[in-house]
Amino acid sequence: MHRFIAQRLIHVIPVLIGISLLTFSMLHLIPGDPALIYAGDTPLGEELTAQIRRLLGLDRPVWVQYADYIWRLARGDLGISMRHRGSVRDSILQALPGTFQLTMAAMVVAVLVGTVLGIVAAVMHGSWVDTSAMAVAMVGVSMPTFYSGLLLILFFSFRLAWFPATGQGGMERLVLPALALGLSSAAILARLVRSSMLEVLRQDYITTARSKGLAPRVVVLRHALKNALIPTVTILGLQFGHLMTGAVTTEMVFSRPGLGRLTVTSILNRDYTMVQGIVLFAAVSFLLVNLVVDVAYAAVDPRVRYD
Amino acid sequence: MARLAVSPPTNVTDRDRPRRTPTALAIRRFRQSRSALVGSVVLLLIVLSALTASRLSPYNPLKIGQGEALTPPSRAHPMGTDRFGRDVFSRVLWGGRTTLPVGLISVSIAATIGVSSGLIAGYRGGRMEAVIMRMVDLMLAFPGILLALFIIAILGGSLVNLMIAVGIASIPDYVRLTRGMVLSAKEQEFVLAARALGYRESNIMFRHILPNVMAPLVVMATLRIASAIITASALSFLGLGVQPPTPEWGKMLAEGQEFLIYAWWVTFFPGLAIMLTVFSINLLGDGLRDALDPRLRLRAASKSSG
Repeated sequence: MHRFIAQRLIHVIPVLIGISLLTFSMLHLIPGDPALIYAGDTPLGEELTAQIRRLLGLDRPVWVQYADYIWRLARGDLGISMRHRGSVRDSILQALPGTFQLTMAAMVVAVLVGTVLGIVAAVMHGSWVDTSAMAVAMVGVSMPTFYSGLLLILFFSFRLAWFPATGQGGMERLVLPALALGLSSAAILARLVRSSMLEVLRQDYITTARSKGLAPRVVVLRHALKNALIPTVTILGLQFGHLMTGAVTTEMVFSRPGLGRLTVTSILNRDYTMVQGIVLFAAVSFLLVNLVVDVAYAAVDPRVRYD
Repeated sequence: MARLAVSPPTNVTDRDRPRRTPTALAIRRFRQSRSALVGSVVLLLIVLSALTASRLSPYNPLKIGQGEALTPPSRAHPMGTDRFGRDVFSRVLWGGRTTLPVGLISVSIAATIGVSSGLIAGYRGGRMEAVIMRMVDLMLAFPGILLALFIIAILGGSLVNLMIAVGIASIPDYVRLTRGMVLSAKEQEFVLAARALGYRESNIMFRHILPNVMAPLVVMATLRIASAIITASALSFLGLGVQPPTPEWGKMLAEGQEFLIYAWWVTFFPGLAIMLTVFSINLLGDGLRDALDPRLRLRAASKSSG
């Protein structure tokens, strides 16, 4: 187990370096001179531009700039915004709680709806319940979150006036965005749980449990579900990433402050340092979440080993 | 391909016998699936209506003031009009001419680069493989739409950049699938035979191995057109893709959002178009998967995030 964790950690290091190289090179890949963008896109004289470049360290060799970038990252410094001059880290930390809350709520929706739908479909395999559950799941998979979000607003906010359409704060403002974001993941999970449940229900130990005369409910929930959920756990990490980035469209639809909204406005404002910081932050958090999921998976299922 | 692997069905009638090639079997399995049939018919209708948009659409999709602004669906405007009095039905028809090619082209970009890298990584091995797989690991560290967003942030939003961004972002899956299959295929006799005959490496990779691993790739590429369309229309919805006034479904949704409370039709129909398209492609892809390779269902279900 310790060896597994150690190997997994070693595997992460080159990826971390790669992420930092990619985000670092962003400022060198964008069209235009970063110094001028810092200056607010106003054409300045040669001398002033050179001064800004010196001030930002853009006149130094690239590898020195990269070393400096890494050094600043190690101290948790993500630089300053090209637009409002504020700290990128502070902006991210300020936007994070909203997105975290949304992602978690959507995860709950996804797991609850997905597992229940998947189990019911598997248990009633071949019946009309199974067929319609899978049809619903197929619609869910095919529905972009921004569309389901707008439909939810249309129906539950404008027609029925059950929930407010926009903004943040309070459970009533979280329900619709969490549903919009969580339902597509729920659909993916439902399909997965169903197929892995069907697989498990064919196993001999299930037949044994049944022939012992156990109640069907006990067989399904106690014996089958545990094993059926193992493959599901692995994709939770992946789904977390999808939900995190799905928050981008969801936050725009529901006008919720958060990381997604910050990303879009930063790209539209060409606030490259902000985008750089957010991308780095998101990729690293995703990497860490998956690390945790993999280790948890190995802990749950002893057959899993690193190869 | 893989003729020997297909065991004959037990209840064959004499009439069926001559047509029992793998292709014929696959076609029969595909035709037996009702959902695949529904998917192909719906998709065909969508593609046809996009192709004939210039004949079908009753109005000019770009011309302002074809009707009054924001009128609800009526006989004259079956999907209503938008804020500029443009006919939503015509714009939805024309929108397909943007959205469908974006899906198709970005998938082609991803499949071309991804499959050849996967072939090289799997067949050559060694340092080449290590480099390619580290790149894949790196790209996979950017979840969901993030890599596409990052690329758009650098390149700027436009139709071409949208296809590039969505295409590049989905390369890793093709590399991993191709490599995995090549690894097992290259140990098989027909590859050893080709090698013994002294064929060139590229010849073996593309003429001998590729056709044998094609079926799962076709399935994945089909399903990927659906997700590419979702990603691309999401980016356009955010204002980072196709720029106005070009009709594009995601963009049209965004344009209608502020009038949602009193003009639902401006957002409802373009969104429905996206959903129906993605839905039909998913049905078609699922049907293809079951027809071409029933084992894939299990493989897809146990796929880990690694």
